[in-house]
Order: sequence, then C-alpha cells, then structure tokens
Amino acid sequence: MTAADLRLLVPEIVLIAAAVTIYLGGAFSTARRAWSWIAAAALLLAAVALWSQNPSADGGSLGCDALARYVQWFALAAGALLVSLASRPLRFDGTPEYVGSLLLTVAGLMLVAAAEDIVLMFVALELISIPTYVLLYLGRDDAESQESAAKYFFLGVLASAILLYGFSFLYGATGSTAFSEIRAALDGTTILPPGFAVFARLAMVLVFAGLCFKVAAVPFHFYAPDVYQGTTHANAALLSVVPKAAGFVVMARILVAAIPGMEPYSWGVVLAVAVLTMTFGNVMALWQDDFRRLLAYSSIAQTGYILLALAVGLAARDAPGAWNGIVALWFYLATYAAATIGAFATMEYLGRAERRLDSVDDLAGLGRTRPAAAAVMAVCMFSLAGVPPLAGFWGKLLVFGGALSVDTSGTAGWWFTAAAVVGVLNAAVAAAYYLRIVAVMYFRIPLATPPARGGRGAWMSAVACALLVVGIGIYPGPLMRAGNFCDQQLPRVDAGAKHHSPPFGRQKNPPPPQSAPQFGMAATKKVSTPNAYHIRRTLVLSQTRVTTSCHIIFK
Amino acid sequence: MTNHQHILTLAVLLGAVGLWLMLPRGGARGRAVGTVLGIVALGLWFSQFHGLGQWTADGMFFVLAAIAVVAAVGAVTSRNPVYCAIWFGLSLLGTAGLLLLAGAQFIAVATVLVYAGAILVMFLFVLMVAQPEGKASCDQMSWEAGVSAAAGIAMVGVLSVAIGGILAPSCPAMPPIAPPTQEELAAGVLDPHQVARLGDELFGRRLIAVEVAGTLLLAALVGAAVIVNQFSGRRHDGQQKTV
Repeated sequence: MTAADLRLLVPEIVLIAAAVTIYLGGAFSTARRAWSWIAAAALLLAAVALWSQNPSADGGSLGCDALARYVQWFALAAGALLVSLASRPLRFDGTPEYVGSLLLTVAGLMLVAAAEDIVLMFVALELISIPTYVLLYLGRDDAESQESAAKYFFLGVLASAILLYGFSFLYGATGSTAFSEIRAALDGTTILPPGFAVFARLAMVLVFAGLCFKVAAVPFHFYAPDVYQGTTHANAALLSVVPKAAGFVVMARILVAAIPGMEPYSWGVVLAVAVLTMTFGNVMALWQDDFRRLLAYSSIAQTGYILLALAVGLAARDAPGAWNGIVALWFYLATYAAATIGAFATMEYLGRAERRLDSVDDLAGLGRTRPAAAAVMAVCMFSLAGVPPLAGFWGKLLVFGGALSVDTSGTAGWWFTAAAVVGVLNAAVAAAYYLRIVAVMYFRIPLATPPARGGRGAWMSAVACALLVVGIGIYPGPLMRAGNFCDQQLPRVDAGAKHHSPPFGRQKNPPPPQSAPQFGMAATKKVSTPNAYHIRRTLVLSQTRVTTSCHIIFK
Repeated sequence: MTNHQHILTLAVLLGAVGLWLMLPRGGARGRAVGTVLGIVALGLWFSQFHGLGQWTADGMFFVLAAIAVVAAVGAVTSRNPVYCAIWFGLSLLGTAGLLLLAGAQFIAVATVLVYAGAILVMFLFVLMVAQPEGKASCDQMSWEAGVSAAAGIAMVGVLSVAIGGILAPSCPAMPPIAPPTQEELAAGVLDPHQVARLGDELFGRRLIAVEVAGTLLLAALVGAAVIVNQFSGRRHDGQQKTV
C-alpha cells in the first residue's frame, strides 16, 4: 500500500465515508430526502475525484486500466440513477441504512473493477453482496419480501462459497493471488509442478459457476424471478445491474486475462451456458404477467447475449476492433443497464407508497393517461428488444456480428454461427413480450389512471435513462471506443510474458491509445469499422427477426 | 485406464453408494451397510495416495485425514442437529491437525478458534434457541439424499482423479512430490517469525483488502441491527394489537 494506491482509492473512500456518515446520522434523523441528497453529493464528489485522478499511477493490488475506468464510471452512473430512483422508498424507517448500503454496493463495484488480486476481488464482491442482502430486507415489509431476501441470501452465500473454492484452486495451482503472477504461472513464464495446470481448469469451472449466480445465468438463475417479484422496483433495478456488472468484470478479468491457454476449453462452456440462458429466459418471459417477474426473465435472457459476447471474446481474442466480443460485452452491458433501470424507474414513478404497480395489466392505456411515462417506458422496451435507432440495437449488432465473424475455418466458427442464429431467433421471441408491454400501453383501454406519486427522483432517473438510451442509439461512437480501450488493455495470449495490463500507453501489442485520461474523452484510436459484409449479414438477420416477431404478435 | 484409476473410480463409486445409504432418507434403512461401504471406499482411496514422505508423517496424515473425512460424513448423515454440529467440530479439528502437519500453524489455530470456537458455538446456540424437534421436512424427501450424495461425490471424484493423476505411481512423467527439506522448512513455515511475517503481509500488501473487509463487517452489522429492529418492532405492534 503506497501513497499512489491511496490516491487511486479516493473515490471509493469518499463513498464509504459518506455511507458511514449516513449510517451514523441515521440514528438521529430518518429524514429521507436529506440522506438521498447527501448520497447524491457523495457520488458527485467521487466522480470529481475519479475525473481528477492521474491514471498513469500504478498501484500494487489496484489496477487502473481502461476496463477499471469504464466500470468505475459505469458504477457511479448506475449509482446516481439508483439513488435517484430510490429517493422515495416505500418503507419509512430504515432509509438511512438503505441509502448507505446502496453507496457501499457502488463502492464495491468500483473496487471489483480495480482489483488486481484475488483476495481484494473477493472481498470487494462481498462488499456488493452483503449490502445487497440488507437492501433486499429493507425493501418491503411483508412476508413475500422476506422470503425473497432469504432466498437470495442463502443462494448468494452458496455462490460465494463456490467462487471462493475456485479461487483457492487458482491460488493452490499457481502459488499467488495476484492476477499478473497467476497469469505468468499459467502461460509458462514460471515453472509449475507437473500436472498442476489441471487445477486451473477446475478453478475456471468453479469460478464461472460461482459467477453465474451473480449474473443470473441458466443453471443458477432460478432465484431471479422470485426475488425480483418479491422485492421493490428499486431493488430489482439494483439486482439487475450491479451484481451483473461485477460478475462480468470478474469473468473478463479471470477467464480472459488471468487464465491463459484455456480458451479452447472455456469458450465452449461459456457458449453453452449463453445459448441455454438466452433461450430459457426468453421462452419463460412469454408467459409472465407480473412486471418484475417478466423483467427478471428478460434480464436472464440479456445475460445470455452478454455471455455470447464473452464466448466470442474467448474464442476470437485476436479479432480486430469492434467484432472481438469484449467490446460488445461492455457496450451491451451499458445499454442493457440504462434500459432496465429506466423501465423500473418508470414503474416506481407510476406507483405510490400504498399502491405499487405490479402487473403488466396495470399499464393498460398508459399512452392516454400518462403519455410521457408511456413514452419513456416504450423507449426502454424498444431498446431492450433491439429496435434499430436505439442503444439496444447496437449492442445486439455487436454481439451477433461478433459471433458471425468468428473464423469459420475451424469448428468454432460453425458453433458460433449456430449460436448467433439461435440468438437472433431468441431476439424475435423477446420482441414479442417487450412489444406486448408497448401494445398494452398504447392499444388497450385504460382501467385506472396510475397515481404517479413515486417521486420526482424516480421520474428524473427514468427520463435520464431514456435520454441515455436514445443518445447512445444516435451516437454510439464514444461508448464503443470506451469498450475498445477496455479490450485493448486486457492482456492477450500472444503478448508473450506481458501479463499485467500496464497503464495507459505502455503495452507492446496492440498499439496503445495515446493519453486517454478518461475514456471517451481523448479517444485517439478509432474503432475499426465493421465491414459492409458483416453489417449486411446482421441486418438481414435482424430483418428476419422483425418479421418473425410480427408473426408472433399478430398470431 | 490404469489399475490405479480403476481403484480410484471404484473407491469413489463405493463412497457414493455408502454415503447415499447413510444419509437420512425418510424411514430408509441400510446405515450399517453404508458405513461398511464407506470404510472400504476410504481404505481404497488412501491406498492410492502414498509416497508423501516418511511413514510416521504418513501415519499421522492418514489418521488425521480419516478423522476429518469420517467426521464430515457424520455431520451430513447424523439425524440429530446437535450431533451434526459436534461432528462438524470434530471434522474441523481433523482439518486443523492436517494444517498443522503441513506447517501452517497460524491457519490451524485460526481454524480452531474461528470455526470450532465461534461458529460451532453459534450453531449450538441457534439450535438451543430454535429447539428443532423430529426430522426436518427436508429430510423426508427421499430423492434429495440421492442428489446430494451424487453432487458431493462428483466433486470428490473430480478431485480424486485430478490429484490422483499427479500422484499416480505408474505415471512416468510425474515424479512424486519431494517433501520439503529441513532448510526449506526453516526458511518457510518453521521460521519463528512466520506469524510476524504473516501480519506484515496482512497489513502491508493486503491492507486494502483488510480495510474493505472491515467495511463489509460494518455493513453486515448495520444490516443485522436493522433487520432485528424490524422484526422486534413488528412483534411489539402485534402485541399491542392483541392487547
């Protein structure tokens, strides 16, 4: 721990200090709005600190590569949206604890992004999990909510145990907890005792299994629908964004960067889980009437698409620019988060403390009774469905384009083509239920006008999300470039012994983006543009999707 | 497949069947048969892991390993929750002994302190407060015993094959792992300042993780306080209503 480390930690320290202050102050005053304002101020302060950091400093167990930066900004933005969304929680007491725990999860996500060491990464992951359990308990005061919190708690602890078991194998096989040294041990730079590499494979499976819970991928997804249904809109938004982002960061750090030479094996595992996840999520979502349950299945399905991007990233690590999966992963995650938080925030805004909107039917005729809220919701749903001018479209384009551009000379290419076809069919199925919500809002007769007393914060959060979705849709360049930086600074297999992703502008291969203190701000290297063939192929596929979804809707 | 692998596979399968017979499943019998099968499996297993060092060290290792494994089986197959907890404690003592044998004094002591000392006592307190009676409803579904035996033994099988592959006597490419020499031990785990170095590591290189863990405990504490308050508040409300 050096002074450089300490400087890198300033944003997290600000957030944790604010959380502690709020916890302490909560003993004296439970004024809801004041604590939300303090939390928002802390997030702003942390953003200023992050902005003013010198990213060339290189801490021991803290990294500050582009991926860390991207996820830290993502965490702050998501945190601001969530604090705003929850500024009028439904339960009266416990608000200070709620807001403080929310800040701690944001700090946890930022630390996960920066961790360069297994121990710190695990502790940071728990810093997300444990406040999340508290948040779930604080969400609502009824039996359903307690049940869902208990369910999430026990499964979460089990998943943490599996993850830790995997980490311990990784440590046992390589003798180090630092990613750079693990990578050096596994890519042959240092000599391992013979046969020890098999433990790295075991570790990979266990770590992936543990993380599948965090991202709600298929064999570990089954908590999601019950938990989302049993909790509040704000908690559901948190669950669908923060643990997922953390899970994908750890997957990228460990599967892509820390365990080299295992890609031929790991992409198969990830691809199988991806296909199962998207299919299961989408098919199950078709039958849902509860809004949060529907979005829970939707979030499972979206995880499937992101895992497909990860599989592409593992199989085609050397593909240039935008098509190599890792870019798609980060881009997709951001667009998904914006649309999902927007949808939940709209629901929160439309409800009232005594009467929450739960079912899809509650939205009937919203286009007439609350046109602005209906428009926001429609934008989010169209984006989640992947309709062209919006952000979600670019995410799906990158994911499927990446899957289709995996080199078809080997068997991997065919598997990925098949997975892309399944993915596109899935997107068609998904369009059916996303567009059903839009249809309910605009083509059904209103039953009752929703009270729309969820608070100004929720409405601001919803509008901000809708603007983000539209903005990214119209001008996706900066976010793609940011994703591209993340990709370039993750270590590659062929980069020789250069395991540790060095800070900006020092790596050999590929050419570094020069002086980019904040992502997207001084981007100098352009994303290699997808070529015409790929765009055409993807567009043809998406056209098929639209046609199929029309069939499904009108049937 | 070599003879070695056959024996390991047999041991794992016998262990699975034995464990399944021993697990509480409704009113099923066969615990004696299961115990015998489990002992046979354990013997087969240990017969395949040799060559770690001198026979005294080996003997200690096998005794402690047997205590840990048998007690772990006891913890999952016992029907009385109090016995489960005590079996669990015994298993931890065996594990701590193994750690001590491997030279990790600090972890050994920490295991006894934290698990056997704190967590086990907490289990016993919970059992005392909750006072469970009879069989839990989850023990009456008979298929779960099969599933959990299969899941546990699948893990054991994977690990046996992985470690057995390294230790296989017939495997030419893999020399048996040499036990550490006295010099190595003196420089490493037998160093009298080992624990001091551990502290140095903990509060030097791992300081951030330690601090984050502190924050984590704070969040857990606040959460526990809030949740308890919530429940007790509700109980008071209920009492007031009944009055």
